[in-house]
Amino acid sequence: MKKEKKMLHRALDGETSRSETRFLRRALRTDDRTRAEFEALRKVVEASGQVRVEVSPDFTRKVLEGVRETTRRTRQT
Amino acid sequence: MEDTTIIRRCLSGCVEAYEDLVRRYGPQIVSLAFAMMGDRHEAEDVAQEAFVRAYRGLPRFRRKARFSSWLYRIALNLCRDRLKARSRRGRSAGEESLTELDGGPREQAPRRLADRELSERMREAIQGLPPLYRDCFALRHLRGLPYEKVAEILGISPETARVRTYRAREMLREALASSVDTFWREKAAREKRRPAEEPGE
Repeated sequence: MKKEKKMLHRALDGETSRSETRFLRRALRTDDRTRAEFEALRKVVEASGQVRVEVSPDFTRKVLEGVRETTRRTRQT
Repeated sequence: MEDTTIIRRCLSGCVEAYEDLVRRYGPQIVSLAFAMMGDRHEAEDVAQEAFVRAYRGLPRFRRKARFSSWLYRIALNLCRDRLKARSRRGRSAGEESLTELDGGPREQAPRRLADRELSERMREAIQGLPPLYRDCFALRHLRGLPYEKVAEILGISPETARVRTYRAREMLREALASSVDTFWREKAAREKRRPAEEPGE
């Protein structure tokens, strides 16, 4: 992966150094392609927040039943 | 109560103590499995099995490692096995209907179609990633873990975790280009309209 591209990714993670941030800011202002690429990646990262799920209320009970069952079986053998 | 204290109690035969760990990590493991499997019921099934396996394995658990990292690893391995089995059976991912997602309409207010579609496409695209990249992306972005923790869970270096996550992002960008653009366009339009639609707020 190219150095510039890695820098875009580091920026998404908030891991760029001060000089890299300066360099990137300039690139984002002046280079349409870099700006488009950065925006597209940022949107993907933010959109990943759309994937979420609630745990059903009886989840814990079912797990503990499974644990008790496995413990019972282990004792029997 | 700390994980290690709970584990000590479990090892002394107190099954009930395990409930604290299930409550603490259950939502995280189910969400991770959901992102990987694309099916809520299967995700809960995987998460349950991961917890049961972890409990059985507690006597072998190295106390220096973090319980959560170990549990994530068990869940990821189970997801991988099931995805392999699924592809052998030729079953397509994401068979769940849109209305069942995210807890269903009775548990949460229905989300806008654009949001749900993006969520659906995102999950499909994540499932389409090569497993090495998928694991890193899921742990980093769906669980919000730092690269150091991702690396610890997967037994790789933080730099490898970074590069794999970067590659996953690039692949998702390609796969989702049009969906993501539509989502953001609609979101911006909604936000523009909102003040006129909700004058009382």
